[in-house]
Amino acid sequence: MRPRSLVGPLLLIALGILLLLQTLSPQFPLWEIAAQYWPLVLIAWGGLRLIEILVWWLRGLPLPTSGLSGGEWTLVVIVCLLGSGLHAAHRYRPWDRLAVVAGKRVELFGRTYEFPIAEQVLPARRAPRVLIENLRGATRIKGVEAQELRVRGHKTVRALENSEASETDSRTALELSAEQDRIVIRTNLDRAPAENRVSADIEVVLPKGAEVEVHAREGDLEADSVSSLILTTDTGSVRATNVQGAVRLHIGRAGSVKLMEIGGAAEIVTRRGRHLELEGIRGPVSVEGFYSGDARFANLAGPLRLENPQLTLRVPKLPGHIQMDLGDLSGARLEGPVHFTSQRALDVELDAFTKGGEISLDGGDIRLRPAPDNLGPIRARTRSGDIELALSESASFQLRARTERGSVFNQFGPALRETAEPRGGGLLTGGAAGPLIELETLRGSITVRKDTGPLPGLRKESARDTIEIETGDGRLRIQRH
Amino acid sequence: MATANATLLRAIRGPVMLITLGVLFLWDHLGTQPFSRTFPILLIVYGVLKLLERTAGTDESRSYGGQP
Repeated sequence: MRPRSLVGPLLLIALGILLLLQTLSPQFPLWEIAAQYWPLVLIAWGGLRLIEILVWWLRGLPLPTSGLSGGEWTLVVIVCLLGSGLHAAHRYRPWDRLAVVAGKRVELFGRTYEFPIAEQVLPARRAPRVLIENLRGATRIKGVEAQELRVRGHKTVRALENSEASETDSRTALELSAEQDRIVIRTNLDRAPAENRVSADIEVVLPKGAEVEVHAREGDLEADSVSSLILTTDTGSVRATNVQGAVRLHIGRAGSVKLMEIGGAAEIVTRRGRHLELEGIRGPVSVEGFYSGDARFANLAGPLRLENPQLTLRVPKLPGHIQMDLGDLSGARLEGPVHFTSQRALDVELDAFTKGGEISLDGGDIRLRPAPDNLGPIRARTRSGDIELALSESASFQLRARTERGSVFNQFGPALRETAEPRGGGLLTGGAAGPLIELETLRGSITVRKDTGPLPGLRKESARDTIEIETGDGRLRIQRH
Repeated sequence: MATANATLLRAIRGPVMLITLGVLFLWDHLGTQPFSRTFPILLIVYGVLKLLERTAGTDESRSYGGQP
């Protein structure tokens, strides 16, 4: 009789012992061991079988045709699949990834709880220095005639249940303290657990003339009647009015920035912003960053400097206004010389500007109407677009206008001379002594005409059915029927 | 004796392959060499065993072919 193998029972015994170890002492890391060392089962199985066969052979017993039967090989394949699966599961730890999702459970399944921030008061001298640290939420600052500083507001906490939320609320208590020569307001939101998203909206009422510095990460800021304002934040909108001194804003991504009635300089640095509005600023204005929406500047007593990788605008003084968006820039009553360069195609219209200027566009139309007096040298250049210049009849100037491909139109008078250029270009020259006006387009027409009134404005609908004319004290609208 | 050797070699072929497979997997899991790189060893071991089987059995076959 052929002997029967002992391997199966032996392996069963070994498996039983291992499982027994696991049940008797739960900390026995059976699965970790199994995941790493399950191939030992194959080795043991093969080894035992090998020894068995050699023993049978030495005893002269009949040997099986094959060492392992088909059924046994099937079992081997199953063991290999299970073992590899276990190993992969332990190595790549898919449950860690599940844990990441579980970490967002507060965000997904939680509720928003609201808590009031009780009013805190601190006596303060006139014109205090104040530092506000509010990482998330809106901050409103208002200067009033008072002898103390007051803070209050409310907080929202994202949590699964009320007890968790109030725990986070008490952990992030507002602190109001006098440190050396300044007052510090901290909302302490960084003390909240990461999964409980907290934001604090605070209202600070302080004596007029305060020097305020705000540190935030996200949230809007509103300030009124302070002496100076400094803000650093990653994202948010700002509205500041009646600031006696300087305003400095460093915002990563700005929503809307609106500054009105600023006594000192305004410095705004952003990576990108949407809307910008500056009005009534007596110090120099410096704006860095790209704005995707519109920007408006009006009544700036100092120089304006706007810079981003696509365009540069410099105006020494702006008693009037400049309005710009992605497609055009229009301005009126500028004190030049104006400097504007754009790497992007853009239509430019400047009305009533003095002392000339330099305009260089990658494309787009240019329409200029310099103020009748105080004309300065002008250089206007576009790669592709029409140029139109309106000059006062009494102006003295030297003109040199050239298009490489297009026509020149003289609607000014006999003082100018048209010359056809080879390859479809045109040249318009003339004038006597006076500032030099150079106009150049590579492709487009050039028109020089007599000044007959303000420019019609760049608004798109004006081309279709309405024309809006800005007069000295209002707007005149002409509608087409 | 030669026939007995061939039978033995055929009988131990399965267990030896199984041991080899176990060793390769163990190497893979211990980080020595990944299985994807070592699997040809299985073919080599199988080939060697098969070769030994054939050479063990050639004693009789040689008497058939015969040399002049």
